[in-house]
Amino acid sequence: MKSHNNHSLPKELREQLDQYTVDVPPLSFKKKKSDRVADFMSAPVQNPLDHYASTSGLLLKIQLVPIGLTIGISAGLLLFM
Amino acid sequence: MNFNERESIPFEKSLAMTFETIYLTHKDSLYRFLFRYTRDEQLSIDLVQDTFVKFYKYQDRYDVTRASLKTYLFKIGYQLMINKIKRRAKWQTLLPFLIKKEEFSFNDSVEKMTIQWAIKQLPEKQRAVILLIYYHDMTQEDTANILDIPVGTVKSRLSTAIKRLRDLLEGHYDEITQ
Repeated sequence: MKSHNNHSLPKELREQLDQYTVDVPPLSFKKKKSDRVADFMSAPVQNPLDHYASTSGLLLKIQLVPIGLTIGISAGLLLFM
Repeated sequence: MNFNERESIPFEKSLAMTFETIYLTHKDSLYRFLFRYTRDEQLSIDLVQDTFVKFYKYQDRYDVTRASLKTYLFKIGYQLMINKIKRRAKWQTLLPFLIKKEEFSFNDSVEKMTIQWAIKQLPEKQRAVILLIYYHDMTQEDTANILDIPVGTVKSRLSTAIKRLRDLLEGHYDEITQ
C-alpha cells in the first residue's frame, strides 16, 4: 500500500515498508459478549512451564525432588520411631 | 456543523444508510492500522467493532469542521487500543503466561517479516506516527490530532522513527550478509 502524499521518507525505506501488507479478515459490525469470551478462552497462550522446562535446572530438580523427599521421609521415620 | 445535520432525508433512515457506508469505507483501513500496531488479529477485530460502537453512540459529538471522519475514527480506535494495551499489561504482570505467542505466517517473505520485526522494535509512540503517516496517508496535523500531541512532537518522532528504522533494517541485513 503506497502513501502517495508522503515523500518525507527515504525511497529505499518506502520500498521496504510497502512489503508490509495486511490481509483483512471478515469483520462483522457487532459481536456478542459471549463470542468475545469464547474467543478469549480459546486464544492460545504460553505454557507457564515452557520457560522453566527449557532450562536444564528444572529437569534436574524434577529428577532430584522424589529422591530428596524419599530420603527426608525415611530420615524422619527413623528419627521418630 | 454537526454530523447529523448534514442529511436532509429522514433522520433514522439516513443515519442507518450513512453509518453503514462509513463502516464499509473505514473498517479495513482502521483494522490495518490496529493490526500493524498490535500484531494481534483478535484484538484488532474487537477494537474495530468497539470503535464503531463508540462512534455510533457518541456521533453527536463529532464536529466535521474540526477533523475528517477518518481522523476521528482513528482517534477513537487509537484511544481504545492504548487503554486495552495498558489493561493487558497489568494482567500480564500478574499472570505472565497469558502473553500470547507471536504468530508469523510461513507464506510471508523474508522482506515482509523483516519490516514487521523492525516496526515492532520501534517504541510505541514512534510506531504510531510512522504507521499513520506512511500507511494511512495522514498529514502531520491529523496525526497530532489522533495521538493528542503537538505537531512539533509528531515531526521529531517521525524523524527519530525513520532513523531508527533505517538503522534496524541496515543492521539486520548486515547480519544476514555476514
